Amino acid sequence: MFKNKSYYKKIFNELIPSSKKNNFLSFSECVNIEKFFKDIEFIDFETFSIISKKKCKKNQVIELLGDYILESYFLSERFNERLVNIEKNFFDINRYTVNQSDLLKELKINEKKN
Amino acid sequence: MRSDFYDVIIVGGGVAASVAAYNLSFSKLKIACFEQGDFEKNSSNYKKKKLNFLNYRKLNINPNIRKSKYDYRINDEDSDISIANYNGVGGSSVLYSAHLPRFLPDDFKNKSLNGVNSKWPLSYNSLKKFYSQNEKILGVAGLTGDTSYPDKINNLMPPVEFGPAVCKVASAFKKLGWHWWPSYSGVITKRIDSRKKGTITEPNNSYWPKAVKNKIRLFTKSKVLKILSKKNKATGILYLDEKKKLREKYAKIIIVACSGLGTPRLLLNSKNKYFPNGLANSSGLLGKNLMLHPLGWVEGRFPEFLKSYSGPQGCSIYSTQFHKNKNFQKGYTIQILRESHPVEHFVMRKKLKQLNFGKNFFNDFLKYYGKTISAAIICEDFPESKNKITLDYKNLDCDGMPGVKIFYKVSKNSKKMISDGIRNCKKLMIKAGAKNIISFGPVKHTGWHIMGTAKMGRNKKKSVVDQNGRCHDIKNMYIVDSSIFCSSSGMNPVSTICALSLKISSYIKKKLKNV
Repeated sequence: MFKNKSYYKKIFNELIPSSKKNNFLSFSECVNIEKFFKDIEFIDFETFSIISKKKCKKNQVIELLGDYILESYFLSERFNERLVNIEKNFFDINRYTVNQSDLLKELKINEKKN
Repeated sequence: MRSDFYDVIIVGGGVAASVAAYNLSFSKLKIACFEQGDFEKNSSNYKKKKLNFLNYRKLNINPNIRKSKYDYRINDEDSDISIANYNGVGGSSVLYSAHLPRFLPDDFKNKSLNGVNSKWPLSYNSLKKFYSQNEKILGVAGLTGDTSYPDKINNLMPPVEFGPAVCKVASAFKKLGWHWWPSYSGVITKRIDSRKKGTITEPNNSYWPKAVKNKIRLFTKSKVLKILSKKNKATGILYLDEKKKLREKYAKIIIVACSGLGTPRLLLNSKNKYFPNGLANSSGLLGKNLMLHPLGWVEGRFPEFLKSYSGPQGCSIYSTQFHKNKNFQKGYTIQILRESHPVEHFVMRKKLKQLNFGKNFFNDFLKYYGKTISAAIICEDFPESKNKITLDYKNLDCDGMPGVKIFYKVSKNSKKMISDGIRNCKKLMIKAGAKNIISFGPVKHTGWHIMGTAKMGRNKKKSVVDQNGRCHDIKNMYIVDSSIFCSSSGMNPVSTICALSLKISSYIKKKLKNV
């Protein structure tokens, strides 16, 4: 589910106070923001108001959005559930012949020899 | 006694200051510490998932990005390596990876490159008991019996578990016949004090609470602008208090503990008619001989999922195999690092143009996640007078105090070491079974170990402080941080900072007792 451009524009407008608008490039010029949003269906757009109160310059907006997207995605339940499943499905301790305690025992034996 | 008069004033609130404050707090002395920053409440928790995001702003290692009101501007335009630090209680340990090895005995011996001597006026043996004391108080996990050291390092908690990916690399070290050993990790693996298992050990949960309990006065948000002096004596400090009011405090003894960067900055800024070139700077060496740890990086990607994010943050195992080498002066150590938290991992992939947001993001991410392991090549840097810091009057901080300008070039010797280290680490990764290997170095954003800018030595013309940390020019002023280091080793410096601070503060304690 990809959000359409008008939705991004709405968020952009929400982020930048109207009194400050003249100081910023238009939305269409802020292509980086558009790129950020592309394909990121996992973002909870409803919570964008948490950064809307900040008075930001264009670069800061981009950085904040970037951070926000990263944070929202990497902390999302969905992402973390997927990681847990990956660990369950792909990691099998029995496949690994060398384990830490064997290695450490060997180090201790060698130390005594020295 | 007047309320503005102390027996000892400690300037700074970082690692070295916390240790000195703790040690002196067992005396009857009246002691105060002045720290320009504040407590960072996220400090011991910042490695938690949610707080990793703070790394990119509020807790960014680079003060020029972080721009906290307690930071000062560091101009690193003329430096190959940019500086990483933190200004607040706990100092840079608020952000450190808590790898706490001792320097090696050989690190204290005579070496020189381009004519600058790096012999210490003290030996490993003279620091041994202080290293040991620090390991007990701070809390260090590891394995006794490391063949790199002549003595047994006891007082260690059990080693941290490091997972199958690191085991693979450890096996590769073994197959190649190279030295390796579990890291000395600042992670609680056995409950000590009230600290729970898994806690990162740092001054803010070890030294500082005990020092404050013993009635040390810790003034935070109090920026020392100058050390006051008359002729050859320090008399006190001039500082801005929490409300930005200019105040003075006086003491019999001043201890400076503001780090390899902050200490020369403060002393150079404290110039007066008696010391026109900066306080304690008759040698002209204050700010010079800056040593950092040039770093090379090799990452191996394995075909199978290895949960390679398991293990201590920072360093899981390390090697001193190439600490001495005929091809260059001195050498380097290798540190094997686990994979970082997913978000840091992603940011790195993005910088390397290996990953982008998009429909295939998650599948692309899984090509790397849990499969990569890295080796950091930490080069021993030599003191060179052309590598230095100076005051930067063009970049004043919010209170009008000058910022710092860094002049630092990675030496040919370090570049040779990095190339050699990259070659050897690639060999190591291949032996471990890695299929895709990437490498680069020297890495720019790695100036977290700042040393040598107020060098220790017996000759007052060639050093700033003597073997007891006492300034040659000012007999009641001491420096206890990494600025007094004569060499940099290839080891992380925190244990040595703590041992030195314990040693010097013990000397001060004894001296004041006799008075």
